Amino acid sequence: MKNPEEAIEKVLAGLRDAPVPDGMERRILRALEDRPPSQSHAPWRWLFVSGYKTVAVCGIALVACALMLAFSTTSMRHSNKPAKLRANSHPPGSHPSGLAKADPPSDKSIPAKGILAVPVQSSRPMHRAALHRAQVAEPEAHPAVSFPPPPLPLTRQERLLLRVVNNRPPVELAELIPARKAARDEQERVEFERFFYPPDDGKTNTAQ
Amino acid sequence: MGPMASIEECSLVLSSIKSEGSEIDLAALVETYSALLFRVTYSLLRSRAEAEDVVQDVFVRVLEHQQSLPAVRDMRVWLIRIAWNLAIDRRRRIRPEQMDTAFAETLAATSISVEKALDEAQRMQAVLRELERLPKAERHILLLSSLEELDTREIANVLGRTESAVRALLFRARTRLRERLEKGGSK
Repeated sequence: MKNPEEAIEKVLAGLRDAPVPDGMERRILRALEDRPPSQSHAPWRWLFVSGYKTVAVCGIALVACALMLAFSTTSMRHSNKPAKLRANSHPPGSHPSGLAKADPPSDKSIPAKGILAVPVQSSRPMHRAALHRAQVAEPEAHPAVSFPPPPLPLTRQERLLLRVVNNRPPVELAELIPARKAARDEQERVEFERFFYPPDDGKTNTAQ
Repeated sequence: MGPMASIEECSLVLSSIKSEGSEIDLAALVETYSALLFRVTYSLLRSRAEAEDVVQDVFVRVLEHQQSLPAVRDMRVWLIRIAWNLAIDRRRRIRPEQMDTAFAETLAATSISVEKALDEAQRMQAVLRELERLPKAERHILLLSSLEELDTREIANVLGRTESAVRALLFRARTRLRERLEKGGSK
């Protein structure tokens, strides 16, 4: 081809200077105006895809719903069993040793604390997931029950007593026990009398 | 509401479409950029109906994303980029016979004789054929560079390339096209 640069420029200029169709702006504006406003933000547009995609999406949604329903039913069954046991184990009107106070659902403002809630929960173990959810949702309602209470500090008298028992001589220890104190007194009296009032044999010998 | 009689009436209606956070006037956008977007899309599609359809799609996209319009820094480049990508998608769907076959004939001068005009049209047709045979990146840059409104930086932004890459591809495209045409066009 002769003079290809000129041909190239001519083609590119033709593309560049293509005339705009008459009334294009008006048609575009009218199309935008006639456009339903709901399509501008259509989050559910994917529901209207045709063909196998719709079937696949609906199938996945149904399976997910079924799984969620089954899981929630299982969780509810496991979590409701202890409540049923608790309700059926005691006849109405007879509350054994304050268990009625430990019934948590009646008043949510008072959390079920303390040891009273322990036998009810341990009678039937909750489902692990349900238990975890319950602990996460209400951490103070399930305190750690197996820990013994911390030892109380000793009183002053107890501390003195310990000191006497461990460190002081048996004389002071005997002061604390009446029987030993009486035995001790008797022993001292006998020793006193033996020292100051010797037996009669000696007195007789001296007189002679 | 009856059919619109003028652009002004449409503008009045569309001005109510403006979102609260956006002060973009869609009617003004259409008036300002529709011709440019038409030329951009027509250079790739070479079909007036398809190009106009793509331009309309561009403004539909603008309407859908009007909440994010204030964050757009360069509205012109942003619109051209949308139009270009939509035109590429549309180009995959249309057949070659749907493209404007009379475009090459319209490029031939009308003042020359019929035989010469026929030869000229065949030359233009050969150029268009070779243009289509170019690698895609080179063809796109050559078409976008033919629009005098776009400089190298804007072409780079539209195509997501660096300016140096755009210059290199443009040089390669023109060289390759010229060499092929000098060899006699496509077989």
